[in-house]
Amino acid sequence: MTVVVTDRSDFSLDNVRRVAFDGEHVEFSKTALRRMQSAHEAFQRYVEANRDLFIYGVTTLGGAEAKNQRTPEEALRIRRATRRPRLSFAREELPQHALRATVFATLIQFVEGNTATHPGRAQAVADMLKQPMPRVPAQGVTVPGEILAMAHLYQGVAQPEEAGYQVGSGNGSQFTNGLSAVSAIQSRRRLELAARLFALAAEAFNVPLEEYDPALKRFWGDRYEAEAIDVLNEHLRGARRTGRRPYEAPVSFGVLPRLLGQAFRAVAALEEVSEISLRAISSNPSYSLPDKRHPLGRTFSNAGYHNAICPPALDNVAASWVDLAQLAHRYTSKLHKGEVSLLPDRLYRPDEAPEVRASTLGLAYVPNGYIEEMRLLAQPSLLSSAEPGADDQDDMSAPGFLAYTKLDRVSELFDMTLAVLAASTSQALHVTRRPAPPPLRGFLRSIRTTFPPIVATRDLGEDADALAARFGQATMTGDVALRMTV
Amino acid sequence: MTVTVNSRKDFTLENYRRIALGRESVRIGAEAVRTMTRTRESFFEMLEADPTIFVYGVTSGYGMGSSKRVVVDASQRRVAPVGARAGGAGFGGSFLPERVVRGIVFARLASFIEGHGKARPEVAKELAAMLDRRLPNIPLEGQVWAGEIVPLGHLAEGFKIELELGEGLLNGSPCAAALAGDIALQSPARLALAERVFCLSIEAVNAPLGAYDRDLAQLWGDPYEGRAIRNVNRLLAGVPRRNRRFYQAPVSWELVVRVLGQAHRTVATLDEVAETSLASSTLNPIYEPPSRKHPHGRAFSNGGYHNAMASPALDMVNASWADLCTIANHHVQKMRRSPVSLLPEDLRHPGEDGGYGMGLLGLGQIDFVEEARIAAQRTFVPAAEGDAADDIAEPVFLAYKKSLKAAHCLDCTLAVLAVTSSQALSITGRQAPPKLRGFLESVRAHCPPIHISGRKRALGREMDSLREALSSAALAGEVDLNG
Repeated sequence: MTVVVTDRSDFSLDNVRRVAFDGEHVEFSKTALRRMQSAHEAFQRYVEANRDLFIYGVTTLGGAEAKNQRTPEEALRIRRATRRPRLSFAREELPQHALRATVFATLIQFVEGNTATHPGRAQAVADMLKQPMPRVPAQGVTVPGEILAMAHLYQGVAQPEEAGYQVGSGNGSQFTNGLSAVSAIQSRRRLELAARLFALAAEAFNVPLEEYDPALKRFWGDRYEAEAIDVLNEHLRGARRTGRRPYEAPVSFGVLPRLLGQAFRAVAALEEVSEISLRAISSNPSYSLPDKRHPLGRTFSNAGYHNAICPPALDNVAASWVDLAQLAHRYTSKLHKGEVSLLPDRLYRPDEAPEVRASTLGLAYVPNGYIEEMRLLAQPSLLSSAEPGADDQDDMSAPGFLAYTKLDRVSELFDMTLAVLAASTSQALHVTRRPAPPPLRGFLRSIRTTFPPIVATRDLGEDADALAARFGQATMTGDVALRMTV
Repeated sequence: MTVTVNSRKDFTLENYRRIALGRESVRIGAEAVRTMTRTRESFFEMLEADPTIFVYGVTSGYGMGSSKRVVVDASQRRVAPVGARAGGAGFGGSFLPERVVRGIVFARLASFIEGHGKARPEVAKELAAMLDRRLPNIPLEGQVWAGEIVPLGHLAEGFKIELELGEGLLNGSPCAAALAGDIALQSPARLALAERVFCLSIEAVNAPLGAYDRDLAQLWGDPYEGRAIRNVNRLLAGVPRRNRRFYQAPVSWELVVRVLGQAHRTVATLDEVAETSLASSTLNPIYEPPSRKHPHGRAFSNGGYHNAMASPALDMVNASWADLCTIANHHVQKMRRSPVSLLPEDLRHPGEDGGYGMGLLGLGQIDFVEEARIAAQRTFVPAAEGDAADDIAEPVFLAYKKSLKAAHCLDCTLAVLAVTSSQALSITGRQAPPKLRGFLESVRAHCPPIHISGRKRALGREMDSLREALSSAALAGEVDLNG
């Protein structure tokens, strides 16, 4: 399948999903190609008529060179003769799906003619999606705007001979827009998966169901907490109502709908800003197409290169993962504490002799380091106070890469913490011979194909690691109910 | 004036402002009195119908003692609930501002007004009466535990009537609602003041206006960035369009409008969270009045005592303030440097050579920026476990303390930027944008342009006076400075 784009409205999270995760290609519609050609031609006339005007990157070069006015021909000649070198290096690379999303997010700069890019060049960028993406370092790319990373991604794209002047196509916030979009998609999936697991844990702990009563939606009045309550009730539908714990579960279980609600809020906010950013014309300068007032159009320099709304939203999701990981770890510990859980102490089967008994007890200690690392990483990606380099003009870096790579790692650690909770929950149900609530039976079965209940001492780390990897994979495929076989 | 409350709909941020800042009284409306009387009766009918029912804190102990059943005689209504006389245990030397304590009292009422607190109307009336007398001090520190029983214990010290069976003041999350409300009320004006100061800075450096072009609102498509663009254009209306800097201003001037847009987003989110929290019924257990399905009503345990959205919303505003501090610092430092700003070196008046053109002003500003960055650190659910039952603490006091610090740092950096911009306009003989002339006059009333050859001045004191004016204006919800 191919995603066909005509205008800005085609730049949606759903189309990012198709391109970034499902590997679809992108083509410009005939309407878009005509519009781009027309904008490109109009811009050539605009430049000719405004040769003495400051047009960043057209009658000047970039950065500190912006104060030196040049003829358009000279600026174009210098730009064509000089290659933007690849300067960054790191041991980690940005993943393929994130780069595909970035390329997709770049196309919006072309589709309505706001960079006056030649349609041949625009299609060449779109055609990158038919090939594996070039290597782009995940670190060492944080600068004002995103030009360091762009040099790595776009260096191989040919410039058509006939292409004349264009404006701002290499200066924007496409990476932040693309990285946020894939994070939004994966975060929604991760949250759906986590909600299943938390519901399963609540069942394993025999939490009184009133703590998630739908009436709470009215009392609290928050739509995201309402969403969390609905999701928990959906997963716990058909759970036993008798024989449950006769008094309140520990606070960590009572607060679940509220912390889950905050996570729903954070993910929804990330989706919202990601959609907005995908549809934003973020080139610097931007070219406004001809109209009555400006018959040749006009350009203006702006901070399109700096996306200020996605990094805080990415940070906010990361913080929610930390809080939920803390909750998951608390559940894991409490499940093993018989005096609190009212389950068999340490999840040993009561009839087993000490020399043969085994459980998930030791595994419960493993997430401590994960969560501490998460807490360090989930600090906000503030604007750096530093001067980024020798150039006084470019004095403030864009934090999109930092926010993305931190969330990526925090998410990985969250999956690992959830894997330990999943194993412990499965074990609690196993030793008490209880089934999962009907909607979660397949989910539990699937967990157990990777991490079987423990009947004798075995190494657990590899199984838990495989389970965490499955959770991570589920955010790529969307199979959050773990229906696919391993 | 008096705010009359009859239902949770009356628990708005505007009413919060009237009570917390306007020091108005609260009257419990007749409708609320009827509702509370009726639900109190039905609560006892429920207990009488099933004495074995689990009702946290009524037929059980609290916290770790919740597994212990308590036999109650529903006819003995005047029996005081366990722990009703416990006072607060927080300490540390600093206290919540009185306006916030008033806000907590107001927010506390929301859980009672529709009968969910299964309390007599007298309880609500006594809470309301507390607003008309001296309120207890609530320490700012030592309050982080599961729920809000520690700070509410302090509030209860000022409660003069005896509680009866089923009544309680300590469970729920009214403090989170009030703390969020306090910052939510200040933040729009603080942001509006920031916009004014940054517009002075834009004009001072003669930044090209294209970076704030109205068309960007449509190109970027974000409603909050759109709001910032409109505000900046409104404040810059009438500035000279000729003889401006002919090439781009440094990045920090271009992107300020986007960061202001993000600040509008975080302030709007906090506003929404505060409104939602104020109107929430958060008692645990909560009593649901009789319905067809539950003819005696029902009481059930829940996590109302933990507000999970207030701290993140406060944190995000703090992060916006920290980012604005960072930009302000860049503007100040860049304006002093002639090759970058194209203004006279070190912002000296003509003919004044040697030394620092503005004295030492702005040289210590890094302190405020770094403090703001520390205050913007995220407030997570604490890793520390209270006890086996109360095992997740609510961190809102932590977030609020950081909010006070972040706001203070922003006011300080805005003061420095305002005076630096004033200086840049003064030495180049230019005026402020027409809409900001009064504002600039107010700034100069606190700290006039600096002549290093002029009279000896205590710039720190002048700056503190300006900072105080900015803080007071934000608190009052005003954008005009008291000169």
